Amino acid sequence: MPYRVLIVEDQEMPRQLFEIFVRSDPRYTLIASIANAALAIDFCRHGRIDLILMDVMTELGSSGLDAAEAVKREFPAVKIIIVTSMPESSWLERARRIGVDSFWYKEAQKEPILAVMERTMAGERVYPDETPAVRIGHASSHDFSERELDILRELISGDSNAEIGERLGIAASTVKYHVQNMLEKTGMHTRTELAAAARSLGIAIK
Amino acid sequence: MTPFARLSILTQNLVCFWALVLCLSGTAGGMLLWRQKRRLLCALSGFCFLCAYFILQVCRDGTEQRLHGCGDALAERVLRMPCAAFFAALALLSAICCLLFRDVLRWRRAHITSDSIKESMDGLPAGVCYYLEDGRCILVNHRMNDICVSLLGQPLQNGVAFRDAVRDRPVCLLPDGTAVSFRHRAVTYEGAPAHELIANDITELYNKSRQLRADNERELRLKADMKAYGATIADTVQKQEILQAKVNIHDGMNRMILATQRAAEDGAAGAQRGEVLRMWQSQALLLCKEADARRSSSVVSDLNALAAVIGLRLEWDGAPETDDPAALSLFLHAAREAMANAAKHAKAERLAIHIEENGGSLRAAFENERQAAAAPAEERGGLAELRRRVEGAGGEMKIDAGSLFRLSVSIPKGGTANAVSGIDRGGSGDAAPAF
Repeated sequence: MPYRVLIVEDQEMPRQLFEIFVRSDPRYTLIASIANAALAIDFCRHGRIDLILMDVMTELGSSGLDAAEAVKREFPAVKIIIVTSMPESSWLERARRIGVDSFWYKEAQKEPILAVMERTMAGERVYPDETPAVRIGHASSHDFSERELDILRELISGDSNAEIGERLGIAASTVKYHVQNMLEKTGMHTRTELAAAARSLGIAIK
Repeated sequence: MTPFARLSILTQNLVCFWALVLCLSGTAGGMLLWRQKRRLLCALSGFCFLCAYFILQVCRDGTEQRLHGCGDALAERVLRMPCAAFFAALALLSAICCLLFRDVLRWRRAHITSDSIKESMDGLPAGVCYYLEDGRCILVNHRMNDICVSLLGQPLQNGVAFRDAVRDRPVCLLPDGTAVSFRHRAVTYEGAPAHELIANDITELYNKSRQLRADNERELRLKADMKAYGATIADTVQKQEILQAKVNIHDGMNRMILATQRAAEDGAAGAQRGEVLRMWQSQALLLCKEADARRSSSVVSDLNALAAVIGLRLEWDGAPETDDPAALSLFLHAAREAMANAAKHAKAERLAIHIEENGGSLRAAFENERQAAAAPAEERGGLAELRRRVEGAGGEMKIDAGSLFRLSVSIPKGGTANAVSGIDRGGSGDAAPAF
């Protein structure tokens, strides 16, 4: 009996590609492909879903990781593969923590999604060793420390060092120090430039 | 011993000159000591002056007697005194004068006088002015006078008038670009109320504060830009990804064309031709879907897909057209709740959705038939949560449970950020009312 698959992907083209992949393999049946992760739990309740291909950032700001957590809590047997193109490191950690079965980077991973689906349905947990390295200025995304990435995620808010420090529980001078370090690493001139680059490359997404 | 009168004219004149110098020294010393308020030494200096003057006078009388044969009897008697006595007296007076002058200098070095205060004030970079209640100046240094000339065009003569002129100006800019700020303080001068006005040169501070103000304004603008960027970044990234996907498709097309060309040139076998044909079909399908699938929102198609899984038929009367994610999210929540209730509690097969939208709000009504045996509707669980979110967003929610169950929501557009969907609660239907 084929596995019943739900695709949660808000971008038209990747979604259609996933649909083609799923339909091309007789071991899978596509139940639906939707754009909003908030509906995934409803499909599990009514549609006996076996596998979900879940994007992280979906329509109307709905988080795929939040949806995956809710599904895993209520339906632990449902397999979930997180599919994303963003190298945001915290997503990988959170996916592991909430019990997501596999994690697949859309563009960076050589292994095809069908192979990952097969291994996942066989009970294997397929995770990349690390996030894909992305160049940001003169630096690589792997050159940043955890604390620097925390601050990078907050920079996009446009708040001051004091406000960011208050949210992270550190001093404003520490925030300033880390921002300066990141500017030196990347060779960028302003924190705005740094935050914009980090967000658009998907290195730091809040 | 030679009497003084027997000395030569030249020697007597030299003695006269010596006495004259002592007179002047005694006068100057006395004046200095008087200013230093040292009365006793001043008297001693006066005594030296008198003695020297007496000797000078005696010498003058002696000269007149010699020239004209007439003279004072007292002077004649004194002139008969030995010349050594004259010299001794003059030497003693000279020694006293020297000691007095040395003492005057020492005292000046050890004490602050009004002159030394004025001199030191003139050397200050700050302007200083002390004046009485009626405006009369007690002390004005050069710098303050220059500032007054720069600001008012005249020297500082009335402290009150000058202070009134600068009272409401926290910072005064001088023509040479210098910035000064004034500080006033009430003081006491010899028991009378007086005022101290100090002008500080704050040019560097003023320039730095101006620079800081400009930097702060620039930072505020950057922050606003950053916030705006943060609000639109998701869309921007999505567009970038779509663009990248299109690039990938075009690359795939190019590869296919090459593969087709190779297959045609090599006279490919049936299986290989079939593979190329499948590639063409999938790419063509992808391009066709891309061409007609640009929807403003996937809410309707997602709900239709969910309804199909549930076994419910949705009958749409209108569709949400707003782009407001919070309003759409709340609408989605309401739809999920209505669908869950229709399927689980009312066992309905169809759900009618009426949508009206105007500039300020999105109004939706969900209507389904009820089973005759259904229990009365109770608003708890999912519906209560929906009401909390709708009303929290400034909207309204209404339930009519007659022969038809009707859930109506009015959702304001904009400002409904707290309505972004709650995944693990919305649309559960578990704690929904029985109807």
